[in-house]
Amino acid sequence: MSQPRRPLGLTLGALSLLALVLLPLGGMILAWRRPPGLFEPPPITLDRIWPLLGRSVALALVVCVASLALGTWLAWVEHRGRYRGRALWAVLSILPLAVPSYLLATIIRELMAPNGWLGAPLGLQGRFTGFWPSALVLTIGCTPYVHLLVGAALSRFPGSMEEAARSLGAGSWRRFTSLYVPYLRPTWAFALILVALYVISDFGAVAVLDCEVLTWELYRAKGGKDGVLIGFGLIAVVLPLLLGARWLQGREAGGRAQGTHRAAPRRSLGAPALAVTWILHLLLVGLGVILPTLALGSWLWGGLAHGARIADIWGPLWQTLAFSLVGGALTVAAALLPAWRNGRSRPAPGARADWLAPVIEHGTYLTSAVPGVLVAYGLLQLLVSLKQLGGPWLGLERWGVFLMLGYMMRYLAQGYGALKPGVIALDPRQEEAARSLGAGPWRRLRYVALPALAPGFAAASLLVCLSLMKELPITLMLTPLGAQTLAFRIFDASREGSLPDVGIAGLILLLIALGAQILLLRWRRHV
Amino acid sequence: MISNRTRLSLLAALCLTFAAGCGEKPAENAADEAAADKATPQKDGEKATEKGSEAAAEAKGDLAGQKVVIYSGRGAVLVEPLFKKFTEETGIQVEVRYGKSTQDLANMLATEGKSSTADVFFAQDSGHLGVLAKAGFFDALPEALLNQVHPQYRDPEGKWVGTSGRARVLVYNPEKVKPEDLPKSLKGLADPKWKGRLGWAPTNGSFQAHVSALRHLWGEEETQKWLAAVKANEPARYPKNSPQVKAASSGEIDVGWVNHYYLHKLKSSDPTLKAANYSFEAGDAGNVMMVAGVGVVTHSAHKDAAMALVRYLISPAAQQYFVDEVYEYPTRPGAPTHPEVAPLTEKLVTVDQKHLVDLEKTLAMLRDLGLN
Repeated sequence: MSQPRRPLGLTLGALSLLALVLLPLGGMILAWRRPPGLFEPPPITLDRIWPLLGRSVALALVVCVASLALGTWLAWVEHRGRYRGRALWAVLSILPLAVPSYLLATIIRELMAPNGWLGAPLGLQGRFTGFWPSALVLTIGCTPYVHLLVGAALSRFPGSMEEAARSLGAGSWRRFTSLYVPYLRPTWAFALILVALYVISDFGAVAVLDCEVLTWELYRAKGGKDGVLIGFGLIAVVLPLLLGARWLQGREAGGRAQGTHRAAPRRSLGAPALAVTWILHLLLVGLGVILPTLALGSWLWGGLAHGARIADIWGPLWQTLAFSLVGGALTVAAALLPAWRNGRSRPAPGARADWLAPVIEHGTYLTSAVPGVLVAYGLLQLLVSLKQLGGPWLGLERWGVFLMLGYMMRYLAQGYGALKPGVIALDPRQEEAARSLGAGPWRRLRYVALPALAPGFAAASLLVCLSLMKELPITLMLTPLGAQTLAFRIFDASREGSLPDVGIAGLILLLIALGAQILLLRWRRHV
Repeated sequence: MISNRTRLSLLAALCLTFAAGCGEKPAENAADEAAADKATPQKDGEKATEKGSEAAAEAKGDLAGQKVVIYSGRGAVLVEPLFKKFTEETGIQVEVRYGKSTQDLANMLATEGKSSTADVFFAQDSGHLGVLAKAGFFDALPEALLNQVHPQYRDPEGKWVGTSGRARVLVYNPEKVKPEDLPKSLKGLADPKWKGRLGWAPTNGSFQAHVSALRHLWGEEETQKWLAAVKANEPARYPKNSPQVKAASSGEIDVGWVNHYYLHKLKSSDPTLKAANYSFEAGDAGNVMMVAGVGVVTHSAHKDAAMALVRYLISPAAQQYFVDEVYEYPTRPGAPTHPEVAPLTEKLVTVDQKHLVDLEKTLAMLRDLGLN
């Protein structure tokens, strides 16, 4: 079977994109050469770093395993199971993605306090802080990633294969291990990387829940030279992880399931499976969506009932929509370049190995391993250097060019990871058939490529846009003067104890996420 | 596929690039540059005051349409309505950059140096104002303006002026602790009877400024011993002050160490909150006032508009705003405090602002103790 050729332009494009998103690293090198800032933090010693590093890695491991298992289960019952309320639960279980991790952590810590909504009936005493609470909050925040990605993969899985296996007498477990496991391996690998990157570079949840990990040291050292070192330390943590993910992915043997795009059949859930599903829904949606919504609602209501002044919310709302839609579109479009380059073409047996593919792939992942605060700091340094040159460079800040660049660097991996399995799954024979029937490139795109890519696009857009909506460090440092987002409002108002403002901004974030998800689900069904 | 060795050597090359950058002579310090052309703009500032001190109305004629860029370490929800009023009254447009913290913004200003568009720096606490003033980022303010503010709430060198004050207090849950059982002095928190019952926010700017004050009032050794003893009481750690008030109410802690105004702010939308403020006996080192304030950036291109804003922030109208909306203490002598906020003046301990500047030593001490 002939493989599509790999155009040189695509490779060059993917490589220059990588060079572009690696710009903040250049900025950090500039920072290194500058004299120390106003506050040179005390130097970092290795004996401080090791325990933090260990805790970071352990936290990432626990959250990865938990969210991979939970997310896969939820995606499976959504796409293969039949039970009451399935569609509603499917929509609700993605919503924790929209809640910034520090807000979710704050709300859950308060719920679990001795007089809290859950703490009081459960008779909890003491503080809900440390490693396991952090793992819980991060798992609630990360499971939707896995759910979305595995769900997108399952919706691409051709029903004819499942039918064939069934007609050969394979039981459901055997069908899962021999059909789905190889097929899902690349998706799991991507999901694993996304979750691990999220956990390792998160500061919000671990700061609120008093769990000292590597990013704590980064925040202490920010602005100093040691901060840059920690940034590279984080990248070093991620490298072995990438190798692990590569192993999980297999040699890209799976992923391309061939057959018709007819959906696989659904089956009613047995009693035990139904019980597990309901417990998971109640736990994840309860803690991640329902209770936070109630808490936010009660804060807002308190303000309205007692006549507290509520700050203008329309400005931050438009700003958030503008930033996340433009940033999301740019990031997903940019991510399509390496995804297409790497996913569309694999060397024929015996051909020379494509050594650039892992460079591009790992490069993409590494960019997203750098925590937002470092990306922002690196870009700021670059911006300052450019501004010192004067002239047209001054407009870069005003137009948010650096902000978008920061977003792209931070979330390119999310877009890439969500798009690539879809690109891999494109069946070249279908395209050849369309070509031989005389379909032009646009028709082929519309009727062959797009339907196959739609779930991946939907997942990528949702992931990236929701992540951008709650992004804080890059937005704080690189936003054009005068702009405020909802995430900033939540941070700012909760710092000042202005809870009605936190309530309304948090509820709007949840509503946007709900709306976006419903829109995308409809789109996915209609393409 | 790329081999592991190639990957390693790529990484090594990257590290080498770094090492090379490190060895080179540092570029000229942005702060020095800024300090170098300090002299000229100061005149502009004085010129602005000669036009008259209650200049808001007058400014409308001259400065309307001008723009002033503020770097604000103070929260947007607190100060934005005030900036809007300023624009309404003077016609001067305001653009604000808000930061994660005053320290972040101070670092940003230092990084940007002359290329910064900042005209005014509005800080949550005076420690960072002091550091920036010392590094030559601020113009001297006119005497007539400084004199409108209580001498304790302004820079002795006249580079910045306090706009409002927040008292350091304890917040406690009245259902669990009686006020008479609370310590008469801040030192009492070291008592083992508080084990597992306290909360604090050691990464917070006000906490750090208070520790700087303690180092001055008690001495280094005493402060360090006290911090270690409180740490032994295993206080719950919070990333900022406001959650401690809620934590006291929700039973997570009995007593927290905070600024006074969060309680009032939170109670304004939830009067059922089970929390109250407590101040130590008169003259105790626990009763410190933290001052928020402003300075005019030396290389600002809009000095007149910047001065108009500073004048506005200490005007009776703005002081009333801080009192009414933020529950803060005014820095203008004689201005009334909020009826719900305890008047503190006679209880406060006097700390020269210059002692709050020494942040680096405080950070080092906190780090040695494993608190920060």
